[in-house]
Amino acid sequence: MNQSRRGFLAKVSGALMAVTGARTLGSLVAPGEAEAYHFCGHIYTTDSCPHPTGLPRIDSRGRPLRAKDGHRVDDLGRLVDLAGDPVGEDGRRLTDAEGAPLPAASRTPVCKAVGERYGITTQIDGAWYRCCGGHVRKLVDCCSHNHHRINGDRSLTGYCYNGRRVFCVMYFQTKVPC
Amino acid sequence: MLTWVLAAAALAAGLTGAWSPCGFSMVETLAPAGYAGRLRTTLVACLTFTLGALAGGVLTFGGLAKLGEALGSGGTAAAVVAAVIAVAAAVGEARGARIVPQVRRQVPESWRRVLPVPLAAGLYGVLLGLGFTTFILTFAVWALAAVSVALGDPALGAVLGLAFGAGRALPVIALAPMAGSDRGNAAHAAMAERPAILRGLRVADAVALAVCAAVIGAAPAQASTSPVTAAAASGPAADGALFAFQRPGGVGYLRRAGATVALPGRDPALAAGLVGWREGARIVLADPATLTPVAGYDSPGGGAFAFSDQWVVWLVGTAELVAQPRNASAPPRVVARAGSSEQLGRPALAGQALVFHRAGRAGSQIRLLDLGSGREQLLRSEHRALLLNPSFDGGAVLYVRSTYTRQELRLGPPVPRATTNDRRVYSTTPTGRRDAEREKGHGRHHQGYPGGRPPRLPQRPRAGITDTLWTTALGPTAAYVTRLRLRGGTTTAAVLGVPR
Repeated sequence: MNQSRRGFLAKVSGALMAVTGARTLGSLVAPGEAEAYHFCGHIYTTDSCPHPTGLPRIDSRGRPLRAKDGHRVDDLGRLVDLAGDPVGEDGRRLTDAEGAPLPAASRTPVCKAVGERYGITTQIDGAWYRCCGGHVRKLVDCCSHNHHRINGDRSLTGYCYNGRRVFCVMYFQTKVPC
Repeated sequence: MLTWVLAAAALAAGLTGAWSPCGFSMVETLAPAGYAGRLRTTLVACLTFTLGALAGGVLTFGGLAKLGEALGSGGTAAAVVAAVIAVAAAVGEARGARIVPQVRRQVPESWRRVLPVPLAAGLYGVLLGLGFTTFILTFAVWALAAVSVALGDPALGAVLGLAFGAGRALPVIALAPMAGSDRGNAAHAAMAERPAILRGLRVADAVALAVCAAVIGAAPAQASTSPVTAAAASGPAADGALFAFQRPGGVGYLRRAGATVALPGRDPALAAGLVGWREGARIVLADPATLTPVAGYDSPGGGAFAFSDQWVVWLVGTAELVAQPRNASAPPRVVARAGSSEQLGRPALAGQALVFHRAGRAGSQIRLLDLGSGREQLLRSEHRALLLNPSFDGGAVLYVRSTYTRQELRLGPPVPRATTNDRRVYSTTPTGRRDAEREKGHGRHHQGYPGGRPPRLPQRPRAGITDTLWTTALGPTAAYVTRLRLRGGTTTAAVLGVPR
């Protein structure tokens, strides 16, 4: 009898501890699927970096990709092939009316282009990963020592370090499922 | 044309400002018998006043145009708004209506007492040139401010500001030196006691504004309809009243005195009163009236070419430009060669000045090469834009500037300077099509912006259409550009013409 009562109390106290522990963990761990602001995973108020095709999707080297399909784009927002030459949606080279190929343009890392455009020194520091659309997404800050961010008001530290602050944000979509 | 009529309206608006309390006070202040004390000081003060007025004008109207540019003005809708405002102001001026809103302020009187008169005059000039710091005597000031924002062209705004500043300065510097003399007194009396003069000036303002409205209204009407000068055409060329183009996959055509005639070859060019075309590996120059050949040059492997009265230059592939004197006194020689991942563009020639583009992954340049001396000059350069296919008539360079926000046809002098200082004579949507800057199920980002208002997004091309502005030509009154259009896997071309 005593044994069974002790057993019952042990189970209750264990359950209580489990609930308390879960609550504590819950307060520490953010939701895995982060939905906020203009693109998934971005939960702070700093706006996107200017990007040739809009949403600030980048490749692993920080260069612009078209958000909807991850296709490479140049600084003019044209689709480009592996060699960097402009192509149409069908993958064929863009040409003039006589069939001569149109010239390639630059394809500048988005954060670097931000620095050139705004006349500031920019670099990528840290990042944070969240689950978006079934894949892990890397949220990347374009950092500078500027005290103002792209929105025009005061900049925040975000994922930047060594005194740098977030000027604008980008993301890199991994192929890692989540 | 637009620049001239706007400058005329601004000059008239500035002149009308002489009838303001500050205008009268300035004549009094700068007069030799007034605070200046002697004629020499008056003349120096007139100079500083003029410089101040010009600077003030440029600050206001150039700044407003810059603001317009930042807001993304310059499109068809903005031009229509500008034309409507100009018409409304013209009606107000014609009727001599009371100015509202009015700025009931004057320049500080104490400056002329506590500062050296030339310095005070300069500062007064700035305040009067600014336009909105003191009484306003004409609706044209408000209208021109709105037009500056709507057109969003800083170079045009600066010209407008200079004209306005000149208008504000002219009556003062004309009247101040003779103030106190019989003629000066008579002029002052006429200004002060004959309202018909001010009334006449306001009518002149009305006429100038009406002309502005007509010109501004006409420009977008042409631009919005994509003013096709020649359908199924590319590679335009212009010289005086002559115009030529290439039919894609076919031969060149020459338009003269209203009639269009087929040429015996392709890649037409015009210059020095002659028409040129390519027949296989040979460039032929001929009389445009009879098409009788007058000269020929072997150019194996050549493509597009240009000629002047001194030189003929042709493009080989997209990698080399080859030049030869027209009199064949020297053999052809390579004058420009593309680097790796670079392309050279269609040549443009005036005298012995060759202008061409270099474009590639490292950026884009427009260069001028003096074929006589071999001296080369970098006219324009941009890293994240394409600068393409310049035309050159000896006095101005016309070229395509393409970025991810806009494709533009820009016109400027053949001297090194920033592309954004050149006048934009035509613009359209970019080649690439951007997304909505938000993912599905999300809204546009507005958090963190003052008032929750993010910047306006650039205009997008229609879905499924990829337009590229390409080769250009510069006529005496019009600028031409080839528009390449990729739709459904097929590329077509048309030549657009706009007033230069």
